[in-house]
Amino acid sequence: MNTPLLNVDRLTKHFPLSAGILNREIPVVRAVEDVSFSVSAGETLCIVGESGCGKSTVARLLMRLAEPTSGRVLIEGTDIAGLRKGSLRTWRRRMQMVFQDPYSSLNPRLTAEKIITEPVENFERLSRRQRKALAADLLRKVGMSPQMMDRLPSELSGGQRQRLGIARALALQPSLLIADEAVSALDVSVQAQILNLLLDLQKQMGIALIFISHDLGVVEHIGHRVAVMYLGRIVELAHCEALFAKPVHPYTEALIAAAPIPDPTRVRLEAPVEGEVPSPINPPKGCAFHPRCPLAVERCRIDVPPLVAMADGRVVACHVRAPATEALATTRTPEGTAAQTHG
Amino acid sequence: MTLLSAPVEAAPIGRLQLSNVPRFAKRHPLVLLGGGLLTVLIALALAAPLYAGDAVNMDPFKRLLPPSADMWFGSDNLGRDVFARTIFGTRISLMVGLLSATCAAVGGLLIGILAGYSRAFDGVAMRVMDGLMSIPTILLAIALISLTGPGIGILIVAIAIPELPGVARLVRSVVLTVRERPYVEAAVCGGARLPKVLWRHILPSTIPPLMVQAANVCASAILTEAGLSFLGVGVPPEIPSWGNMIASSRLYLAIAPMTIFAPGICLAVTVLAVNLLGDGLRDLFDPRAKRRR
Repeated sequence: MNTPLLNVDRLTKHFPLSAGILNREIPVVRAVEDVSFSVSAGETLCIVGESGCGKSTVARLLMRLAEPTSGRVLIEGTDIAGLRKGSLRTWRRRMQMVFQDPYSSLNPRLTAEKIITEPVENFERLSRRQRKALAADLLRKVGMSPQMMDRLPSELSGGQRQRLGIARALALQPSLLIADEAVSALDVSVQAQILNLLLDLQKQMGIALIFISHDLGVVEHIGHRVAVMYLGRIVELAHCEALFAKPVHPYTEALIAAAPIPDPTRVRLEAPVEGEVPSPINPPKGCAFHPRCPLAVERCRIDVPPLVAMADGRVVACHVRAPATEALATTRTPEGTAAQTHG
Repeated sequence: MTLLSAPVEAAPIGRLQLSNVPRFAKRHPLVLLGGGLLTVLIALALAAPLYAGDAVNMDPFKRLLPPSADMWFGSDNLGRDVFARTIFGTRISLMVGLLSATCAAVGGLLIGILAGYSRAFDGVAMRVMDGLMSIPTILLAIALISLTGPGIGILIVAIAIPELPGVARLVRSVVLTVRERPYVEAAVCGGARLPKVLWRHILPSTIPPLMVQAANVCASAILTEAGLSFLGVGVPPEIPSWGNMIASSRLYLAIAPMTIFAPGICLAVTVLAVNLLGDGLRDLFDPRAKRRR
């Protein structure tokens, strides 16, 4: 396997809470802690987790809409976390983002044409005619009629708006698309259309996709690999089928068990996890999941479990289910093994 | 939540069509009334040389005359035509009002946008604005004018400066909310440079509140100019302005009331027109404010 398209290495983001100047220790929200993964060309990586687990922060860090506290984001070997503004602009072309809310992510004062061609116009001058042609082309790609190009966002439906959001992201022909809860603001039938559009585009253009979601049903449908996050850390990263067939980390297990099953005759297991997600300001010591974990042992309260590679290529952070002695893998390169088994 | 808030926020003003005019008039009578009045005043002021006659010529034999066919509003203590002076005074008031409002709006917009976007500039600029806010308008104007001598240019500057903080703070607050909107982040992701982000995605949102504020500044600038002229530190006395007129004729109120009523009523009507327009614009740009009533 050659260099992956995107390599995320020990990415960490702490948000300092503004406290008085006199407070010596400023409390921080540990939004993202030591997150590492990689994405190859044409692959779909899903990131799942509850609200507030750091999924969206990861996306924002990848786009450098937020500055990482530490860690590296490598695109084809270049670390964009350290880039200055000018070169960052050119690297951003390789990655584009589809935003969650199709209502607020489009400037209400611009027409569809201007919205979707703007990224290209940031890099080159377009004549009126070129711009129209580009807009028509992009609209057709996302399954909309070129006649829509004079519409304002307020004159479009939610699904159409999200298609515009995707068209805008495709305008620069990125090799990686980050979809941050891109369908969760839409109703279910439109969700399916947008998901299929994303998958079609991925197939046609060979784009890698990072799909961030809290909806396990969607993730099972589209993911190649799935990363499960809990309180800012990845607790399990596995191939999609393997993860859903046999979750290893107790949190993954609980998450899958808690997902609604669209079959009224099947009885769902009682949710094996109790309590609330602890605050990321002061996360529990050791494994962040231990206060809610049915399997927790003494060690879980003390040590943070490292990500350990399992026999089937997945990586899991759990002292009980994946004891570190079982494998040689270290937390530094959990991707080494995971990437090899991929494709 | 998004469904409830989106239409209110997004509502961009529809494309201008002639068929919309009656509906617009019905919905926003204040804009029409204030705007109409102001347009008439501006037209009267611009056309003044065509019909108003001589505003400066003195005639000691025609002092303090009552209104007549020759001089509609009578004459003042130096025998000057009050009607002509009132009309020419409109030019001064409107010019000072509109230019001060423009200066304050442009200056405040620049400071506000930069302060909203740059933390470092914000700290400095806002402290300076706080300082400006603590200086009384009239006092600053008197100080400036006593430095340079009376003149309309310095008067406009003196009136605009104390209005800067209000405008700058308003613009800054809009920028602070808008810069967090996803469409601004999307523009940044798309590789837009900072000037383009500011110009295309942030500036347009600041224009509606800025226009409302500018109307308020304009109204208070007209009043301040009249007040300064009344005190004798505003427009030079040889130029006919409402404040000068009221100041010079206040002793003759019992003998020639028109000398004071004409500029006084004009002043009131002009300020009313500007304020009505301001209120109308506020309702026009913020549909929620109107519905609440």
